[in-house]
Formats: sequence, C-alpha cells, structure tokens
Amino acid sequence: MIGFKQTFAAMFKEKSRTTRLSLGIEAIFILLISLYFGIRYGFGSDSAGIGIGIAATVIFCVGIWYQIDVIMAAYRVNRSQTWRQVPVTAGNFLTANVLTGLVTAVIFALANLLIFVITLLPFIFGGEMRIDSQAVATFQPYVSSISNWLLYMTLFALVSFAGDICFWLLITESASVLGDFLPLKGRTSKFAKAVILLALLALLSWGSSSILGAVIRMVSNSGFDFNFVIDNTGLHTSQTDLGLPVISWLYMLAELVYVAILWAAEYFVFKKGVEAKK
Amino acid sequence: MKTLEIKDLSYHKNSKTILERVNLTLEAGKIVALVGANGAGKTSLMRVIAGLAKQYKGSVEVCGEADEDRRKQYIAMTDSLSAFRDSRKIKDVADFYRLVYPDFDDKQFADILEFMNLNEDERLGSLSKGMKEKLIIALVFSRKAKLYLLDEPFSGVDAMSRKKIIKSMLLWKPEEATLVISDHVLDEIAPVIDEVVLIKKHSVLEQRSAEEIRAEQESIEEWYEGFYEGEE
Repeated sequence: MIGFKQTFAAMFKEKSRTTRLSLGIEAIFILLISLYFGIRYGFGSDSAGIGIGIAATVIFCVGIWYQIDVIMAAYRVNRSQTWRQVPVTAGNFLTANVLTGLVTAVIFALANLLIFVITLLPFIFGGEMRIDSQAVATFQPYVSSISNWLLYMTLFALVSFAGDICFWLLITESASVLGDFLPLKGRTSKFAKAVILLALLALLSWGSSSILGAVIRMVSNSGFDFNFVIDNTGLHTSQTDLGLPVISWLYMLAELVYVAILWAAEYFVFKKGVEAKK
Repeated sequence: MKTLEIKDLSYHKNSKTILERVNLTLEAGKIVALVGANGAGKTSLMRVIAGLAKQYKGSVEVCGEADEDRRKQYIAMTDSLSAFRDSRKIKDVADFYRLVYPDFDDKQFADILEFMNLNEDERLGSLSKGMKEKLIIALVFSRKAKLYLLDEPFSGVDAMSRKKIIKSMLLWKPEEATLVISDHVLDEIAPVIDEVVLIKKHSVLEQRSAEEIRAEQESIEEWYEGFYEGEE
C-alpha cells in the first residue's frame, strides 16, 4: 500500500504537465501580443496598453477554462483504470485528487499573476505609471485592512475551489453511478437520472445556505469569543477588529463545514459506486 | 496456500446479470486459464477481483485480504494505459509505476524491455498493438505481485509477439505467484497452463486441472470446445 504523500506526488506529477503546457502556450501568446503592440506603438505608450487589455482577457478566459479542466481531470483520475489499480485507500486517493487539483490551480493563478506583472513592466519602467503620493497618504491607514481582506479572500477562494471540485465530482460521479446501476432502461432511465441529478443539485445548493445559517446559530449560542483577526503574527482571537468582521470568519467556517460534508458524500459515492472505466 | 478465494459472487449492472453465484479458489503458484465465450463475464470477474468494479455481492479475498483497497497491493493487472497520452514515452510510464507501486523492480523492467525489443525512449503513440501489449506485460511482470491478472493479452497480437509474451510470463512470474490469463482462444497458452476455469452462463461452470484433461487423452482446446458444441 502507498500513503497519501506518494499518491499526491504521483498525481501532482501527472497533473502539473497540463499546467505547464497551458502556461507555456498562454505565456507565448501574451508575449507575442505585448511585443506586437509594443513594437507598433512604442513600449510604454497608451496604445500599447491594448496589449495589456488583451493579455488580461486571455488570462481571464484561460483561468476559467483551467478551473473546468481541473475538475474534469479530477473526474478522469477517479474513473481511470490506471489510477484505480493503485494500492491506496479510497480516502487518501480522493484527498490527493482534490488537493492536487487545488495546488495546480494555485500554481496556475500565481504564474498568471507573474505573467501579467511582466506585461506591465514596460509601463512601470517607461514612467507612464506614476504613484501619486497624495493617494498613498490617503490609502495608508487602510493598508492593514486591505491586506487582511486580501488574505481572507485568498483563503476563502482556496476553500471554495476545493469545495467546487468535490461538488462537481459528486454530481458527475452520481450520474455515472446512476448510469451504471439504475435498474431501468432507455428513456425511463435517462428521465429518472435527470430527475435525481436535479434533485441532488437543488439539495446541495440548499445545503450550502442551510449550513451557513446553522454555523452562525451554533457559534452565536456558544458564548465563545469568535473575534478572529489575522495580522502579520498570525491568527488571533480577542483583539481589536482590523476590518474583518466576525461574520466573515463564520462564512469561512460554514464553507469549511460544507466542503467537509461534500467530501464525505463524495467519498461514500466514490468508495461504494464509482467503477473504473474499461 | 490460497491466493484467491471467491464465495457466492454476484454482479449486476442495469438489471443485467454479469456474474451469478461465482465460487472459485485458486492456489498459489498456478497458471490458470480463464476461458469462456465473448461476454461470458471473464473481464468483469477480473475487474471485481482487482477492485475496479463495484456493487457486487459475495466475498472476494486475495491472500486472505477482503478489503477492496488493501487487496490491490497483491494484484498486478493488465491495463490499457489510457491514462497516458500518445506523446508520453515508455520511461514516463515506468516512472509512474515506480512511484505508485512499491513492488516495481527497475532491473526486471529493463530486462523485460530488452527481451521484448522495446526502447524506453519510444513514445506510446508510435507503438503497434503488439508492441503495446508487450509493454503492458513488461509493466505487469516488473511488479512482484502475488496474483497476476492478464485480460486477453493476445487480442490483436501477431504469432511472434504472442510467443514472446508467453515466454516472458514463464521467465518472470515469481514461483509462488498465481497467474490468471483470460482468453477465448487456448491454442497458444494450452501447453503452459496448470488449471482451466470455464465461465459460462455468468458463472464458473468447470474448474479442472490441465493434467486431468490431458490424462483423459483430450486436448484442452477440444475439452473447451466440447462445452459449446451445437451452439453455433
């Protein structure tokens, strides 16, 4: 038997090939566009900014496509005979699959940020982008709050994306299980499958809001001090508010609970019903 | 010592019976031919044993291990390698096997590749059907498993490649390991098998020792064909 670390390493190695390939193609495309507009209108000129606009649009579109691809890749791994022969427990397999999807997406996002910053460099060094000292002074008191919010939003995005992977795995794999084992044939089977999937979709969406309500109620009645804050020394409670209201952390907690429930449901479906494709 | 023990196994999909009340025990060290017509359930039986098929009833134990996840550690089964793109090289696939199978033996893999006249720098897309089948066999026998499951390893493979595959099975199968080969054509493997298991009507119809069949002055092919006489 192999453990989580080896499974994660093997999955990461396979999945990161797609990440590298997508990033390479995207980077070359953006570089060519930036060069074209830069050479035509002069680097640092306003018109060369069209290249940045196009680069941003390309990054946005590729980002959306990549998120879908991560979910599809997770599904393919769960259904692959090659992967399913690997001697690992279902829990470790599923966790490694979800986390490798998340990690490759994070790498993809960071690399895209870097690509975008590189496209901005001619403007920064060309002197077209100036930092207004008055604006900096006005902004200064809010820097800490903004950085806290950014950190919070990043954490929230990570948890949500892990939840997204579990959510779509659960939906697509439930469809596979119904397709494989539903004791009906032809149109009746398809109709029953569609009804069950719609019901599942509605249930999961309803579950999301209900869990948030339940977590907030539970926390408010607990009497515990949930005044969390993040600063440069880490996560604390019982400190003065730096711009992140308690409700934000309750949202985070609710999201975590929801992701845990989705993972558990997906584990059950995966373990009990998802066959490897022939 | 028992390598495989199946009790009362039934497997249904979409109200269709695939396997019904299968009981089968295989001893360690044997080479077993799993035979039956197309659609008899040979592949499904192997997939159930390997933990790739779900929702079956009954029990399946490999080396005394009934848990689906845990019994995979004892099994090496042929795979179509569909998880790998055609642009991937043989050495990439070997890297994957090395990473996920602790019993993968590098030296043995190199030896089998050499025996099969395969080069690890070749891309999967450039391999013919026979060469790919040889690669799959090389990957399977580079593992030190207790139970080898070869699902129709000769389909679409020319006579020379078939001979190579059979020779490699005999050369690299660990003595105490059990080898199960599913096929509906027995010509090539008949001389090397110890036991025959016939799947018919979704269940094990016969399990006979090859020696017994041969002792009855009958070839294994004739014995097998006898079950299908008048069923054209």
